[in-house]
Amino acid sequence: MSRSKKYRSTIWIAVGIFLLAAGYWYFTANHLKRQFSPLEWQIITEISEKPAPPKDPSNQYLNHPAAIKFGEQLFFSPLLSKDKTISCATCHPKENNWMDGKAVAVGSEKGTRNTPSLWNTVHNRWYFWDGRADSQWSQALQPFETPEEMGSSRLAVLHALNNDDGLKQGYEKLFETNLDFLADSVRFPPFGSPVIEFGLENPWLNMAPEDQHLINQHFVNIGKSIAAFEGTILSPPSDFDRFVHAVSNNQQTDYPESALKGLKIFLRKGNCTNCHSGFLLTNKEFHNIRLNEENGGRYEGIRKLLVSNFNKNSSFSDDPTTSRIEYVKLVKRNWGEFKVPSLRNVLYTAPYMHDGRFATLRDVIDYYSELKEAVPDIHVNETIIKPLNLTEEEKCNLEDFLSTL
Amino acid sequence: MWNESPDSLNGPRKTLRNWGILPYFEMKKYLTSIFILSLAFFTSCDTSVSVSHLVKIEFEPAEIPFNEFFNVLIELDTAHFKNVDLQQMNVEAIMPSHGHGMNVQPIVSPGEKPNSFKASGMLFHMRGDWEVQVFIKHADKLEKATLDVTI
Repeated sequence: MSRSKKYRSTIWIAVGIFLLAAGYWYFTANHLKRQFSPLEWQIITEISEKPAPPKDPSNQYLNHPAAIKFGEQLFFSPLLSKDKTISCATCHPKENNWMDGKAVAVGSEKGTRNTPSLWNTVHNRWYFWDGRADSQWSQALQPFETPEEMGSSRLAVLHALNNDDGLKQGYEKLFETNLDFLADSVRFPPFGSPVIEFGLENPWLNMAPEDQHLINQHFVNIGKSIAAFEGTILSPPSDFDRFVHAVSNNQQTDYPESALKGLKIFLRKGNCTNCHSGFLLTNKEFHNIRLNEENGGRYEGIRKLLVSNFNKNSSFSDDPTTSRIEYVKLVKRNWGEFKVPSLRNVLYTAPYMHDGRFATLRDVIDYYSELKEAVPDIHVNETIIKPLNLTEEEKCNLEDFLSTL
Repeated sequence: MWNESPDSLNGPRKTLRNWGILPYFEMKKYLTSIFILSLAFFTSCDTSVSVSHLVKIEFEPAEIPFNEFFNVLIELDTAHFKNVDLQQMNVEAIMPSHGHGMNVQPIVSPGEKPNSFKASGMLFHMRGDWEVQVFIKHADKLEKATLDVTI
């Protein structure tokens, strides 16, 4: 064999090996994608698709660096609560995925609802389990005046802020205002609110309407600052996101086989994507999953939302045209509905459901599999809530998949 | 423009299902995301009556966005639909296989053209088969048009 022939053979062998390796690599990478239908793959990619930067025209301070910084100060400050021991971070500690890990929240007193994590909440459409707020700034205001949470009142909150040099300075600089008017204790009593029952002694009732409006405006600024900070609480990519990215780019992945099986159950037998879809793994809406009917849930939420002075349709919104409240109508079927929670970081946000009744992910899966103790479906319109009858292996696979979100 | 080629399908699949409250002629056809042509034959107990109706439906945006608000633009044939009662005109959407509909109630307002209407505030929050329902009250009659849409 001539030297040039030998040379050519070597090149052809090298090219062959390269093509074989590339083919093997391409086939194994695409092998994963081919296990799903085009629609399933679309649903999968929607989950891992990073949403556009958050925006809320009703809050001009969202994404405002100074507001974010001041909002962070407020978030971690216990000074604004009634007994000066409770802050937003009490129930939403950063080190615990922005939630307390308790079945129901415990602030000044024991509450009735499970504390949701704050991850990605800027992307929510409604806030609270019952959706009684339609913006994050409106949501952020309510714990101040809820007896089980901070137990304070809007007047007391503003006085507390005014009495702390650091907070006062930060507030006045950010909003280019002056809170010295609060020194007039006749016009601006030390406590009072229109939403808290103080009996006949509620000083709010004796205030001039223009003074009430002034207090409301400053109170709303506090909510908008906290919302600006909460808007920065965005979860990093998950193992599932990395898996989808790798498969989409024909790269190898070490995504666990059991989680992959769990993903198929999530999409097919479980029909979980009916409600848990998109980046947040929630359709952001409300459903009755037959847990109980004693709690009004969304029904009560809509009632409160429609009469709230701080909804997006109010004069305190920076852009009332973005309100969707006019499309919300109170109907009988809203009774017992609760917001579909996000499944991002779900492994770390136990316990589960609006009342924290399930301690583990496995408990949740067991519920959907058998629907033990579910209320009879004759009282609920959601005909898709049927026992999934999962096998032991399927339950484990589903749990493994959920753990990667 | 009331005719469309079946080949011009874009976006979510839409199937014309029925039109009217009495036995109807059912036709299924792929249509564009812009509008439907609705043709129905009505019969009553005593007499047989054939009526052709035209209803034009447009989605705004043209491709219905999943889990985002959108509008429905409705244009009624002026020859058939006279004195339409806007107050009783209603647009809804249900998921027959789920046993529920939208979580919102759209608001219907007059459109720019005569006998045209705009339903704002539609939201399909789940994937699957939806049935858009348009209720039209005119000349003391309440009629319903339905349109199947798969998201």
